[in-house]
Amino acid sequence: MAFLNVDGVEVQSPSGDNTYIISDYFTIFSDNSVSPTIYSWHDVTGIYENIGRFEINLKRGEKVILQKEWFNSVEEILSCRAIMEAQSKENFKYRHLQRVLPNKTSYINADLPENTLVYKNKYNYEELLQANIAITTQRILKYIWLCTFILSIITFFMLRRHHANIIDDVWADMIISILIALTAAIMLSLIYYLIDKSLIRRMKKSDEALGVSICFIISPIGIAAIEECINTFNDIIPWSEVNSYSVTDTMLIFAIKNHQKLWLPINSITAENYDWIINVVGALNVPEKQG
Amino acid sequence: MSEPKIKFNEIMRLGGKDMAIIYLENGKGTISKHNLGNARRIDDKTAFINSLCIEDYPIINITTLKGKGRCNDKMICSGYGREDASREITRLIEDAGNTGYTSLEGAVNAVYPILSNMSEGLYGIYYTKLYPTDGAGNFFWSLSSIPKEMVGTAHRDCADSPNETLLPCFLLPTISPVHYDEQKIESYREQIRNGDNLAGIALQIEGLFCALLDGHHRAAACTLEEVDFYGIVIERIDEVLFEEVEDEDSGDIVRKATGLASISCKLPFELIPQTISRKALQLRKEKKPVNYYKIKHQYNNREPVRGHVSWSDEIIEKSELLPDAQMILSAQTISGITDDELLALLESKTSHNGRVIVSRNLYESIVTAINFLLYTDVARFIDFAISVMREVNLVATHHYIAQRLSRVNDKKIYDFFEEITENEYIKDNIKEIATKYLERNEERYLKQDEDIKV
Repeated sequence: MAFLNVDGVEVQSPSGDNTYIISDYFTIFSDNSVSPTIYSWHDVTGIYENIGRFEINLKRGEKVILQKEWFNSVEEILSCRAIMEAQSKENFKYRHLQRVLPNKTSYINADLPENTLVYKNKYNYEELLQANIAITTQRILKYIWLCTFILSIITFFMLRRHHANIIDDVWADMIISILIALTAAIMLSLIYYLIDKSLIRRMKKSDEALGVSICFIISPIGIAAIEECINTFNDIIPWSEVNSYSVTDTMLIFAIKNHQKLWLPINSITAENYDWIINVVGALNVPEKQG
Repeated sequence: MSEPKIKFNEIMRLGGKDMAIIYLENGKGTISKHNLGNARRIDDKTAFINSLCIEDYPIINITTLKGKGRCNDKMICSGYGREDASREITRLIEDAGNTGYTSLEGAVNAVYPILSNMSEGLYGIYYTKLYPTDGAGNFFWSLSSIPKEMVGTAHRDCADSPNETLLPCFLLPTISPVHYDEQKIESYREQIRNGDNLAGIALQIEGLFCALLDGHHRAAACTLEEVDFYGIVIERIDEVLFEEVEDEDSGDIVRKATGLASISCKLPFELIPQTISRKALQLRKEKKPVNYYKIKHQYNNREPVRGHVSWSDEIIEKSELLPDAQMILSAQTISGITDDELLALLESKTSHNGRVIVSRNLYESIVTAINFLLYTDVARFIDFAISVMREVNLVATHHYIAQRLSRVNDKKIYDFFEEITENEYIKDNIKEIATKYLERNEERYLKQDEDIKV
């Protein structure tokens, strides 16, 4: 199991009635009683992380809510999340909103070899947005062109059929249909842009990791992007979990288990290190995803 | 970094013994058992390793083969020695070992410098009898650096009575055998003859096994002088104790956490302040140390200290006579056995008066009873063992029991072995044990016979 080195977290409800400990066990001390109720992680049926709180569902139908504002620091929230998410790999389902970092369930506990590249950086909101748009554009561009082409043909024939008496000029119909199709394509792109922007903005609200320094680790055995405060150089996503990678101006984006992304900012690394990463990825036959 | 601090220190009566319960905060972690992740492959099987480390050096490696789980005995190798550790830490251990004490409070004060070098956590400290062997009759210091499966290292949960406590008593060396010094031992033997009590300091690391931090020569001297060797044992209390209790609301039997536990103690939450329970429950058991990669480097590259040590026959023979792990496990897992129950076992019955004597398995029951008696009541052991040896139905246990009998010097056993060497139905391997026993004790008992005749 990964994230065994993350320190346990103690959280107290504002009234001071209940104290919760998230560690190797999930412990609740109620009303200052000496004996706590201790749940092993097998007793947890699911956790849902929402903006501002963790909802922990227990086997006997009980539900415990931990408000994020009860934690003393962002580091404690991140530790709590890492412990619970790592435990969820074997025991229960952990649901959460959009996040910038890959799930902690993708990680394994491993020794990093000596030739490992480690660097720290904070995610930049604009860079992240730009990279997300770039990757979305890469993905949808060909479809937008196709739609534009089809739409222009359809518009053209519709104009010819319904407005034959109004506009006689074929060239004019063609120009109008192309303009309509282009407008539609621009609007579609705009919608995608707005969706992307709102997703990243939402991520900014729901994911505490966006505000902290991240440790990026690239090694011949795997890759990792872990919040610096919980990183101990023992957890990694093995390359076998990485499906492909894409390159944008500011980021290297790795697809993990097809549905998660690991964003690797490249503006703070040297050209030499960048080449080393590309060489490692190339040597491991991770396919590059082109637009 | 903050200085180590004792947050809680109280002497309690737990598991039939006085025990100081201590919570150490900000421990340095330079003397601790650590999880070192995956081990080198053993017999083509993957394994994971825990190691008692002093500073960056793994001293005793405990290997668990993957797939076997914690219910199986683990493989242990020592022989690396703490010689590479800094002089400061070695001196600190030696000084603690040389500090005299007359009470448990004094013992806690004596071992405090060692304790402050351990990782943060809840510890139990007590004074107990230790056997300087590996639990299989071998002198503890003669262990090699080749991993060896040790009886008594399986997890406590896996015992027949999972909530029974066991008292660790076997030793593993933390100094390599090349430092074995006969002159030093001779001076300690002299001290024992003069009536001095010699003791050591040990750290419980796995099951019944403790790493002897200080007192290697004293332990050897006690073995040679055939006197009990005592020591202060430091034991980490880091498990949650789950017990079947009645639910206050529904009245149903539910599994509930009632306290913290270690191999030798059950510590109910009621006995410690909530602040201490909270601190203890917040710690992560498998956390790797800060110097993990340095330790792992040493683990992968360090060679055990080599050198020829010839152990005297006397120490080998005297170690063989000390109780072994099977005896201790049997003695500590059953509370007692009556003569009627022994008779029932001889009749191949596993229960008596509607109660299971030891377990449903007849042979396991007999072996456990034999070991229990050998540890607690030698006279009853001899009678019962000889009776079992005479039962043809229990032939599957005969070889084991013959080996057990050969550990005890007694005229009854001598006569019995003499009798079976002439019996043509007895298997050769049992006759071999008997013959060796007769050869070893011939002089003693022949002389005894002659004396009686005179």
